[in-house]
Amino acid sequence: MKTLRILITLIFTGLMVNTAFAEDAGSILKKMDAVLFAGEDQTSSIRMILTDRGGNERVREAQVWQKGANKRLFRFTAPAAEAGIAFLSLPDDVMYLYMPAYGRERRIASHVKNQSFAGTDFSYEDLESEKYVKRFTPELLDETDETYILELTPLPDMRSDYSKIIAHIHKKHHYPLKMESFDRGGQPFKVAEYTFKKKGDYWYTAEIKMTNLRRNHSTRMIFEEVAFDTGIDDSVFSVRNLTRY
Amino acid sequence: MKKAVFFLTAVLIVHTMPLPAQENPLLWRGSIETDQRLLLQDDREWAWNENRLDLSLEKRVSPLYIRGNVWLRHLGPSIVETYADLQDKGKVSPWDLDIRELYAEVHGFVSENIDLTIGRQRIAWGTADRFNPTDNLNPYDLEDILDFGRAMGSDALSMQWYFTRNSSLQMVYIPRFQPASMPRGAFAGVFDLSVPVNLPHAEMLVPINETTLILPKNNFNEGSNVGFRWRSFLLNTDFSFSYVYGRDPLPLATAVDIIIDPVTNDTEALAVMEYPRHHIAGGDFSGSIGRIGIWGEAALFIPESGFHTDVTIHFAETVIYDKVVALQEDPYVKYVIGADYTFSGGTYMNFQFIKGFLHESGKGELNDYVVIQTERSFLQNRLNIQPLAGGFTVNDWNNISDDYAWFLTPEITWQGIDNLEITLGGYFFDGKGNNFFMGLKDKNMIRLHVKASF
Repeated sequence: MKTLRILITLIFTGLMVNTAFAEDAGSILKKMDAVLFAGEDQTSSIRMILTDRGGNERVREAQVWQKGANKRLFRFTAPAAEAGIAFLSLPDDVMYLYMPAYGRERRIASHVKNQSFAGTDFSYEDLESEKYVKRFTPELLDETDETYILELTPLPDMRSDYSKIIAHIHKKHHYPLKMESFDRGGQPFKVAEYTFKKKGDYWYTAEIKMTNLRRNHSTRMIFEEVAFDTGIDDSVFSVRNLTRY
Repeated sequence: MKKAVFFLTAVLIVHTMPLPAQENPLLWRGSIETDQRLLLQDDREWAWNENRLDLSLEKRVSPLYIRGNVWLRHLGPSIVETYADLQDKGKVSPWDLDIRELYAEVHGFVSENIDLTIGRQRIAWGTADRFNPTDNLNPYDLEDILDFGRAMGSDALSMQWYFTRNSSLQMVYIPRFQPASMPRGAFAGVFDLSVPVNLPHAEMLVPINETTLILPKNNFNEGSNVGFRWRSFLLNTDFSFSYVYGRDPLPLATAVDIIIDPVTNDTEALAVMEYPRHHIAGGDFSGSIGRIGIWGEAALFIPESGFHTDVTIHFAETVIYDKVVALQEDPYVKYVIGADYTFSGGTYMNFQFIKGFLHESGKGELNDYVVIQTERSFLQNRLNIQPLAGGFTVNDWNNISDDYAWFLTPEITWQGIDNLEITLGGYFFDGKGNNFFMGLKDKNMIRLHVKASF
């Protein structure tokens, strides 16, 4: 009887501990989303430096507008061959691409998500403007004095080219420090290293270095002239605006 | 030359205008390109030689945008025929200036939800990839027949009212009729200009040697085109409905005078050609099923009237009169359905089924075309390969073996240096029967295209 009590106690304790971890993981991920999608809106200029295995560099530049957690507009400004190309991401996987040479926007389906964004090491999925809690189930794997380590697995109805992501999250400020992505076969695929800075009340991404482990190629995405809460109108995230280069 | 002076003057004026908004300088970007295509048959003739400066300009004086796109080109070989022609540099080294677009756009005209665009502009309607049956306001630019979907700008007034963020109504008025430009150089004979002739003891197809075009009167009633398009978004799908009242930019022969030599049977035919009016009701959509992108586009063409070709045949001392249907009065539908997908390995595939190519019109006259494109990028987009690109056409599915054509347009593009793109490709055609791509059967060619952007 005593053994049974101990067993029941252990089972319940175990369940409680697991539940507590699950809640913690969810709460940590929500806090990370709150940092990543801070403010009502955000604008920035970004510079993407592509470095191949030989150390050769190429540079891409763009303007970015973001509102809430699921509206984002990218417009390339350099190099000249890509200037004017724009990409609009809206809720529910609605995406448009505008190429000035064709004079019209093109609706693009979610099959592009696994594709490289403009030759960088970021895929369309990496740049998707949607909260992590809406895409992944978190599990707290470990914690150190400074970081939480979460394993993120795609939600059942979530279409992802990653089988899981190991997220290293700053314990105090809840911004990501590193994200290790694994392909569908479970093999290490990409590593994103983050640098965060503070502006006013908000922490913002100052730089992401994405390394493709298979290709030994990396892209540094540097955010400059970051501004929050400038009151971007919803009309910015429209096809009408997309086609105005 | 006049056009060149006008354009350069306009650029200078815009550039030197004392505009207050120095933070909005004149923006210009463009490219220089060379496109060289060599025929693989016969004497390895050059099929296409083009060197192009493509220049786009933009000046913003809020809420006004002034935009332009011009091509300055050296095109083709020398066209000198006499010693005197050598004194004309335009013939020694042919060039032209093509003002593709030049317009002013007002964002927030009268109301903040209305945009007004005035000037030469491209009004691109439709959701399909380059083959757009609802894209009927601008005339086709068929000069380079292999550059599918190219259209010329039209002098137009376009007003677009965005009554919600996802819905808009566009109204377009084009005051003057502009015909399509036809294929040139090696592609000049690709459209079959011939008329069927019924002689007492024979039927023959007589090629037309000379034509007289009757353009519509340059007035409000005869020359103008109008169009409306309502766009919206529902159930994760973009869609639109459109209406155009205009003229077909390709002419039809309404009268043909044929002289047949009774000894040699050689023919000489002179045709009078006109541009038929029609109403076009269109609709299109684009969306996705799962991860697959899908689109469709259809246009119902309602000819304002049927067209007949009055044929007069002079054979020896006899004159025979005949009448051939050039365009039936019955409505007909052109449509495109398509899909695209990117496989996990990175290979992109695009498929389209097309009912009725751009030059085909009339009930029962539309053929079926299937167009496929595959694409794969390597080395972080430095190298792009289109191994399987092309398609096939069938006139009669019950007689495929005697009337079909296929074409392949593989290419490989290298973009190892920013702003430089080098493409090596080919165009290959084969088939049987009497269809559009058979007109290109002896024009297999390889192509080198180099583009430097600035």
